[in-house]
Amino acid sequence: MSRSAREDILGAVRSALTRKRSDTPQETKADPRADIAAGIERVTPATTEALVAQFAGHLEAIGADFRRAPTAADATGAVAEYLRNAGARTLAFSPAPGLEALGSGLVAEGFEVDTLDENQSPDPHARLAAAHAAVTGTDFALADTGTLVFTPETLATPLHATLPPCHVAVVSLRCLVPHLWALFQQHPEVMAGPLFFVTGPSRTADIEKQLVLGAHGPSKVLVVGIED
Amino acid sequence: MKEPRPAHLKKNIQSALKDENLREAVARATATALAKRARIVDQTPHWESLRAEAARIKRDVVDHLDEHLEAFEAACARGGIQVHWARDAAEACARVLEILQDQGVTEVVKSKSMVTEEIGLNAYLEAHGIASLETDLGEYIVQLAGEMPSHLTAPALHMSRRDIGRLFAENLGTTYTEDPESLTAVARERLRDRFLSAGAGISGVNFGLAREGGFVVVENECNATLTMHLPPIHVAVMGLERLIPSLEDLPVLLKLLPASATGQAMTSYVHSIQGPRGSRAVHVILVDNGRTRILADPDLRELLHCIRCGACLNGCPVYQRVGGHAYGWVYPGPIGAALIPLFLGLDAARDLPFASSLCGACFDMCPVRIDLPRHLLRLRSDVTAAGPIPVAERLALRAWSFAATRPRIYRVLAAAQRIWSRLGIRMPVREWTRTRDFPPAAPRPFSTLWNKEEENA
Repeated sequence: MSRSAREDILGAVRSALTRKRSDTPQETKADPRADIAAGIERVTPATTEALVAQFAGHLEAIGADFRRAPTAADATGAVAEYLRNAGARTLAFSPAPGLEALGSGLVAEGFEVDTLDENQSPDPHARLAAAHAAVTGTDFALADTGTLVFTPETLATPLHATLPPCHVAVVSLRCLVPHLWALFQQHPEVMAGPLFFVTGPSRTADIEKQLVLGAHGPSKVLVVGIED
Repeated sequence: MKEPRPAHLKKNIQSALKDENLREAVARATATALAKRARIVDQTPHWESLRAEAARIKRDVVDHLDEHLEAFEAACARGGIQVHWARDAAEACARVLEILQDQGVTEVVKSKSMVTEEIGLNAYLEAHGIASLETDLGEYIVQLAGEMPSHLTAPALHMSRRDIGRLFAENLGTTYTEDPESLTAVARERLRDRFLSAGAGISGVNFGLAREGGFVVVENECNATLTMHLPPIHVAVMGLERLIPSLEDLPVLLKLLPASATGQAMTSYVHSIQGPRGSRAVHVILVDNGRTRILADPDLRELLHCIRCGACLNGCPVYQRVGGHAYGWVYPGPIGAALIPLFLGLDAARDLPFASSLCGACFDMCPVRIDLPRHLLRLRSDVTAAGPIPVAERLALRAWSFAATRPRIYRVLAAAQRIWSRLGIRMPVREWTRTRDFPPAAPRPFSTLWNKEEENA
């Protein structure tokens, strides 16, 4: 091989770019960014309560459930009931700050709680896949789409939330932001690492466009919004 | 594998038009997608500005592609992602195979990726003893059927639930059902073990992140999550134009892509991957395969802005009637009609730029405002300039230009045609009138009406 593929391709790109485009950029609005900002402002709820309502509304529309509780510990009863209704007994529990009380509460409620300690068993994937439900914290949430945002600090791998058929995610409502723009503006540090966004249950419409939940991931998602 | 080819466009279209099931399936699927998209567009007052901004972002990437590629490579290296460059399909396949063979991988799971279809990765891996399993439900279905995807985001859109029920019963040994929920459950169960045992996962890329290094993958089924995170090795294959300058550009594109593709406000899962987690290895294969050739054409360069959402397919009156297979290659619809001749050469796809009514729906739909009608017209002129025009067509046009520039002769011929059509005599152009109505002549010619108007005025 005379030259590497890298050099060949970059060379071809550079020589291609010596020819300038004949057209000028299409202009629709003088400043699209200002118009986008104005448009977002118009569709973004003004109060925190309205933001929570928008978030909950989206979750419902996409087939997820939403509950509110003053603290994670207070949510134990509601979570336990949801899990029992989903037929879940064994839980893959991703420990996160603030979730300790919920974890011990669920143990007290009679659930088998696996804290996903890597040293405990050689094959965490098999354990995860066998669990009936995942219980996790959440770093942020986006109100305009009903989206949960996870960084590696809260969720070591997306598998912890997606291998079991049911996912309970606890999110502090203080971490609810209006949209992705706001998340990146208010918390630019999240852009430095991997991000995982979850919006409702896993879904497919590949057969005659008919919606089916739980394609390869969870078919049931419960989001618990914590007030404190 | 039964594969229509772009050179047989007319034959492909004829057989598609005769297939009632296909037409019904495609019409229903595209109508659903369009309705859902329209609802989101209605709720988004700044939709047009989002499109304009996305067009600006992609234009910036493509016009400075060399800088963005180098930044991407360096940032990936910092995050521990290995970047490989591939000049063509063969080289891209070979790079993937090397990575897999190096680790002794014999079984891979795949999530949806158009570029892997483009380079023929599955067939290549199978030929080298590596089982490659599609895990997106639609892709799984078309792989079982030995077909090509017929839509960018809904690969099995051309098949009815009965087709899929029969396919599963015959190939998987399950009892026949045509209930989408049961069929999906069958696929989930069959694929779960394969996810757990596969030695590597192969995915596509929606947006490469030039500044941060890494890439964004958008999906609904969770199969990409499992493909990228379960096996110890992840290979992501991307066309080298699929970059965005940085994660800061993602909010705009994430408003446009799901809405345009499936009419969703957001897909179920979005991954921003910036390096391996734990002991996993992440590789990116940057594929040229003709893209730098398209880049070198300043008029057509804009086609590299495409984010593969499929909205132009759903909006296209031609696609709505014939589906994706008629186009004959990986990329169907208006974007395919433009890309196929560029990827495969004009000779292999001479008719494709003509498979459009130029109504402009594709342009209106396109989230990054690619002026597809303009590009199709340019390609039509390329085809015409390159190839001989049929003798009959040349003679007909010469006769037309003779008559049309001589008013007296024109009037005589027009009068003759009016009598002809009144007598019910068909025009002697059967090939043309077989699929079109020859418009009957107006009872009174325009010139007569015009003269009357003049007199009245």
